[in-house]
Amino acid sequence: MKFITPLFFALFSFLSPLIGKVDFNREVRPLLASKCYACHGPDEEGRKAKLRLDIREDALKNDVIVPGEIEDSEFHYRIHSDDPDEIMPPPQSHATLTKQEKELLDQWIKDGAEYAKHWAFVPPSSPKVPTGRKSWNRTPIDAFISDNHAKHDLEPSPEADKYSLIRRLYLDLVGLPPTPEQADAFVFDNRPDAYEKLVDQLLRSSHYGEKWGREWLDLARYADSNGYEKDRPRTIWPYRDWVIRALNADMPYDQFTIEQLAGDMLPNATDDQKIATGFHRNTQLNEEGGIDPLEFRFYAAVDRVATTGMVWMGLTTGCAQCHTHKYDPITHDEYFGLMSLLDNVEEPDLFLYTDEQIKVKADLEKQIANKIVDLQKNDTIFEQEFVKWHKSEQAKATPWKTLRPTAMKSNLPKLEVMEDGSIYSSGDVTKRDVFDLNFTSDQPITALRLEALTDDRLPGYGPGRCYYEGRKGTFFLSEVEVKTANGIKVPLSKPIASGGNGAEKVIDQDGSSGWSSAIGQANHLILPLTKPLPANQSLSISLLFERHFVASLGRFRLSATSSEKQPKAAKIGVEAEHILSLREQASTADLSQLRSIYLEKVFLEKPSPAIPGAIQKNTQWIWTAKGNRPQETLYFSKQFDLKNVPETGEIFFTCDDKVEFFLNGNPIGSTDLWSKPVTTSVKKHFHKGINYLTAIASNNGGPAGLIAQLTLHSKKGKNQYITTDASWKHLSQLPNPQSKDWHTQSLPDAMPAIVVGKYKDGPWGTLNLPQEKSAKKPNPITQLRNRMPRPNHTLVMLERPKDNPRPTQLRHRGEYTSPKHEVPSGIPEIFELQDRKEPTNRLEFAKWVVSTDNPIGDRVVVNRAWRSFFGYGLIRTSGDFGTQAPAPDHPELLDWLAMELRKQGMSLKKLHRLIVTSSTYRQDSKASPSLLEKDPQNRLLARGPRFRLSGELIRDHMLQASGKLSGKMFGPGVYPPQPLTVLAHAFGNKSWNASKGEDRYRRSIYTFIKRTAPFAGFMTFDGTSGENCLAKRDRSNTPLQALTLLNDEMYLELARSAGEKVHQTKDDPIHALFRRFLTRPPKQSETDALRAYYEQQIQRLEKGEIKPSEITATPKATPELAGKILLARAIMNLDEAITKP
Amino acid sequence: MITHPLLHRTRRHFFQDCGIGVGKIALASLLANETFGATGTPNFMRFPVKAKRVIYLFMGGAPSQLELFDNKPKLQEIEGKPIPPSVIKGQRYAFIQPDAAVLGPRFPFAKHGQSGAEFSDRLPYLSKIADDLTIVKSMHTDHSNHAPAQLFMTTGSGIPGRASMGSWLSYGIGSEANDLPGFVVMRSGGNLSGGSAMWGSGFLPSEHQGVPFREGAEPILHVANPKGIDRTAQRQTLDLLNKLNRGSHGKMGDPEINARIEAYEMAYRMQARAPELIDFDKESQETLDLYGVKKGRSNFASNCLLARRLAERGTRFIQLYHSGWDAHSDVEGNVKNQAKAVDQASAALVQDLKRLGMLEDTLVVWGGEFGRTPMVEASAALNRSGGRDHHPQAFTMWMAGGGTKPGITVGKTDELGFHVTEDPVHVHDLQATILKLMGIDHTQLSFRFQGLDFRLTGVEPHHPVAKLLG
Repeated sequence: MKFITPLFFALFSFLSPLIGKVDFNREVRPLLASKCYACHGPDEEGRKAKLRLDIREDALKNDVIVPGEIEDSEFHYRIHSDDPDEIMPPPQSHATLTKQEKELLDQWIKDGAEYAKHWAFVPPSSPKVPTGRKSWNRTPIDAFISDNHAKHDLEPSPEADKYSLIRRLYLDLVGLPPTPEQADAFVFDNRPDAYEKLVDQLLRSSHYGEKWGREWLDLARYADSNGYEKDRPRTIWPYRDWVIRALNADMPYDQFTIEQLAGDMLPNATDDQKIATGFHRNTQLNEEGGIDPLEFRFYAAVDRVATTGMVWMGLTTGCAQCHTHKYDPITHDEYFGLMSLLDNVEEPDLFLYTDEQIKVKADLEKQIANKIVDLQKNDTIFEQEFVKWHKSEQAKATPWKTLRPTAMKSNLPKLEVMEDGSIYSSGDVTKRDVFDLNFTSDQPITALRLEALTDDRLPGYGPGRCYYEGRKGTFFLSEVEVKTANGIKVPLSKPIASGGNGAEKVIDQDGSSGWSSAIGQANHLILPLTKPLPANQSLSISLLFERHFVASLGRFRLSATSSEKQPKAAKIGVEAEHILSLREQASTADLSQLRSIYLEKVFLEKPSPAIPGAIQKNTQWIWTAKGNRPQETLYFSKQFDLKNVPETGEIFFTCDDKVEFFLNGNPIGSTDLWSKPVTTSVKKHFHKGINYLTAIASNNGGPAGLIAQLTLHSKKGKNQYITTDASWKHLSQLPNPQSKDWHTQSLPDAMPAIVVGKYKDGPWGTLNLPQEKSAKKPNPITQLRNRMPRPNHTLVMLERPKDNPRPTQLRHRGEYTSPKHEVPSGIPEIFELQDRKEPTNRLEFAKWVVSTDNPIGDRVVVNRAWRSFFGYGLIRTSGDFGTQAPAPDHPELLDWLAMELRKQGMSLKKLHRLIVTSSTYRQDSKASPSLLEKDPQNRLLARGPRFRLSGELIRDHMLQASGKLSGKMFGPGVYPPQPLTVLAHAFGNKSWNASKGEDRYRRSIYTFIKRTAPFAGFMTFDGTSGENCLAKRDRSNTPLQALTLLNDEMYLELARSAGEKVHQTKDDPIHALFRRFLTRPPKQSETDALRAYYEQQIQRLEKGEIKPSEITATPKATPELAGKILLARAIMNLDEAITKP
Repeated sequence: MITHPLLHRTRRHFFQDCGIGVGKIALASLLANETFGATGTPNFMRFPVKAKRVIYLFMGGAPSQLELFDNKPKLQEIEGKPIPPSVIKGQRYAFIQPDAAVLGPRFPFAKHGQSGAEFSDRLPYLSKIADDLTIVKSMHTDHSNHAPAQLFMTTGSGIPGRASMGSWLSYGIGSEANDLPGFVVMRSGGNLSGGSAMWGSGFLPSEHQGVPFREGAEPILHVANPKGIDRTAQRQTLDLLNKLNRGSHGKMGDPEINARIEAYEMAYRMQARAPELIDFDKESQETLDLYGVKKGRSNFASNCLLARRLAERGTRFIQLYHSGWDAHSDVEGNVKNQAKAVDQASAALVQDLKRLGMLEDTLVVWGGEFGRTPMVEASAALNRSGGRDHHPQAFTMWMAGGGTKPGITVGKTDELGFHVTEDPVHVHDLQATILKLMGIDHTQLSFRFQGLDFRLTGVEPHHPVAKLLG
């Protein structure tokens, strides 16, 4: 242990006198690092005067430092100089050295200017356990601590009383208070190992994983929403549940780490191991329109490097993102070397079927198959109908032949040809993807067909690769271009599609328009050639996908036909069309399949009879122009001729924003919101000849449109429709505002209306139509299919295939827009690899971070646990063990614990057990004035830890103490009550539907975390929104916390519950409530004060100065019940109620 | 928020010396970090304090500078033609292609005041106080999407999770308000892209985060007593809590217990103060008319008046977000509507502060997260026409009071309004300027997190804009 010199034991530089040899690690390096390295450190770019002080050989050059000789050392003169041009550090750096610091540096030079490797990079070795205070020591921890007490003339505090002990243990190990019964059982348990028994019992509790899981989620920056502007919800709670389960199972920390960093790469990786990789999928996702997705992918990669550094290497790598680290020995290149190890990933969703779901699914599939057979057999007319259909469709079917590409090129995505001739796209995507595909067809071509296909590997099953902003799995084909080998454009005529919108726009030369169809289902687009292409000609097809988000196809197939008939987009699907096109060649199996398809898609889906009043094709949204319109009022008019007065009629209309309708000048209805369409019957006011339907429509800004359909039913049962379309006229000002004449005359100055959208078009979508009940019977196959279980899904990492690695480039100044050279993967040189190979991928890296080759890793783990129990780590900066971090308070203890962790098989439960069974932990936390003065922050641990609980634990504590806590574990996030105003400042969805039933009272780890509007009850108590890896929470003490505990309805509800619980018993409410919330029995003075308060409140309640029913929020309110609730509320607000004793 | 009384007193002393006013809110973290130099003043307080508080009117969505402040007749001339390729080389856009056609300004401009500052006819009220404003036409930013750009403007970084400007000030110089939050956020208009990260405290202690004010009778979360509990019951409860907590302190000796007692008392005072704060009854009709406030209606105008009332009561940083400027379609209609919503109250705030003698030491800042393109945005798929896309290369902001130089315009853009040609002001420069006006050297106000010394203005060299300072 080279680095632990005797002086190293003196823990505080302010306490240690300047005697003996100066310690480089403890005293000199922090000084050089903070005052000199910015200009004379590892960063070449920032280096001044070509002088480097962080490496001894360099510092000794040119007599800058002459070991042992301050008089000969330029360094000495420079730090003592009076000349502002000479003095170092220069005055403008504001890094001025104090007198003592200068003397220290002089002394160091006199001593020989020895350098030492930073302690954190030297692997821990088992330090000798000191004797310490033998009578007090229970564990080696105590030996280290008491040895140190002796050095500082301190004595340990006596053991805490048993009520405090059990409360402390419960809160630390399971994050809940003990019930009074549990507390009493322990207090009166006189067995010598009662304490240890309790510890073991708590370590076995399933609440253990919930308590410690929450702390891990801080590091994992876990949240249930994507962050940034839209902050839409995401599904990654299976990862959260994995953490809880892994901790409860005491999964060894090395395995726990490897599965989270690289579980997907383990041989035969299980679903659980894949779920674990959600750790690094907790990065934020920007879904704002128009972003560059690769830019924000890069920011996520940056976050992953920083988080990995914090969590496993105790190292802050952040600085090296922009330049070589000024203080720590990480270069700019090495930073990107680390990124390269982590960044060779795809980021898919993993679909998860439970065992139950798998069974249900298999069952249903069987049922469907049987049903198909049964229905065919049992329906007398089926075969007859099928034969008829088959004959007629066969004649129409087009034979298609799959085109297999001879060459493929894209801007970025990797394209590969699958067995079925389809093309699968993987790797990175952009918001303007271009695929160039070459083909040769051995037959002439009259038309091309592009199938958009689904695939389990695609977001939302595809067909597209959209993963943000648009719906997952959507695509948008902007343009298709076909060229011959010699570059001549092959003209296409009107494209048609089996589904979706905008097929004809893929050849309109406008990149902003195009074809898109539903997600999760296959569709196809037919591109007829204006003139057939002869056989054996090479051709290239170029597909452009351009949108303000990623929208290229993830799986698709191209086919061609030589058929001279104009092909149709077969709605029944390409499979059925293929069988039909085989005609006589179709096998029995083919025909059997065709029967099944026909049965399900045609026979059972007989078109329903036309519904009177159903919306007509030519009923369209009209206005004066498309797009956003200012505030304006318009006067619309439509004249129509009636040969006979109709029997009845009804009108359906609405307008964005509001409208009033008139028939021949008679008001017939109005609406003030486009989403409130009006349907009303119109019987009167018609006459033979010319009639006028008029409307006063206005828009307040934004999109504008008017839609209406007047349906007239004749006596013979025939329908006539008057629909909004381009034949309507409009005026923006009336010729005579006073007169109503415009309702009943043709308007010569009126302009024709502009069609601004078809019915169902965005932004309006489907409106509530006047509908009669459909006569169609439900399709039994569809009904079965609808019962198919929907799998859960979660975000995971997937290593990219070997033939498509993602290169990592150094980014100048860390900026995405400044890529420089490619950087090989690797870990920073400061970590010694002992002839071992550099890790080459994520899995090897994960194994390295938890190997003994990483000198810091184990220290980070034990330090984190220590902080959790004692409030401060043995190293104060929890994430940072770098050169600027202060030396540990108890360096040998830190190392001893790190070694012990390894010895105990990396078991966190054993580590926790070791700590809580120590005498150090069991001390009374009373802080005497002299202790407070000597050691205000309790660094020396001559007393027990005492500090406020986290926001989550405060809520959990109150839930448990009030008897409301639900024991339900796992599953999607839940919504405890909070005022809706918390979400008022969020973007988009501002709802927070408070959970009902037991979900309202679940442990806080299950609370849904919305990053841009995190749960207020936690945030007020220094909670986290999951935006950054958080190694250390604050513990502030603010008026807003007081307001929350006093006035938040959530806590009032729990006070009511506690009050009611106690009210149902004959117990003394003061004693009973006190024990529920504070564990220990009250002292007499406390009982007196509480009783006085209780009686004071009862009096006021009885007098009606405050109302029992308002406090109890129930009709069965009595002053006594209300008084007990007020009492509970008061006790819940005590400092002790939210503090670990 | 509350720390050891000894530290407390010392701190008051520091800030009286610095001239920033008594910082009631604690700076324990600063003291612990040894940010204070040998002289006893925080070493970042290096400049004379001109502004004691900031009212920041954030125009979310990015207003079109070309329809409001930056008059470009050339655009009219070449409307419909693409921008020369030399100008657009290498530029990235959110929605449009860089070679989209030019769109001329939608409104006429005129010169106003002695300064001759130019405004379009959509800003009749601001035009009248032209000589009180300091206009910067040469703003530019690093981000071209709303959320990152808004975060960049408010926190100095495009990634959520950094400390916001208001929290830096709360952390650095505390607040003068005894019974109200030191950093308050209000909202009007449409959706806000940057979200709560814009007033978050990031790595700073979380008591410095902005407190979002809520509409209605309870501006601060839980500031009203629950139903059934009157002020007497609350007082009696507090008396009980104080008694028992004091006993607990006697037993345990933990100074945090005293801090908790003080926090509860401050909460109680806040409960009394909040209703008075939001009650406009004592404001004259003339004042209400000046702002255009209609009683019972919560909007940008009422937020401006509330901001003035908070400023009077010592709140350090008041940020008003008004969103709705994102004119991807119909920039003409957009500017008409939004200008109507903010012009009068923005001008009224400056006038009101001036007549109350508060403009001298109150800095008002007005602007969005970036500008809008000289090119038109139109898209069939998105049903857009007549809009302008995001334009980070150049945009306009203005300031007033707080030590800025009134009646000047800083910076110029080229004849297309595309690039800055004179006195470019980067977002970090603006932030450095705001800090300087408050007496703070932006290079010195830092916080160590994840091993880095974080600053509002990042690591690259940026500077306060000397021309802006009075």
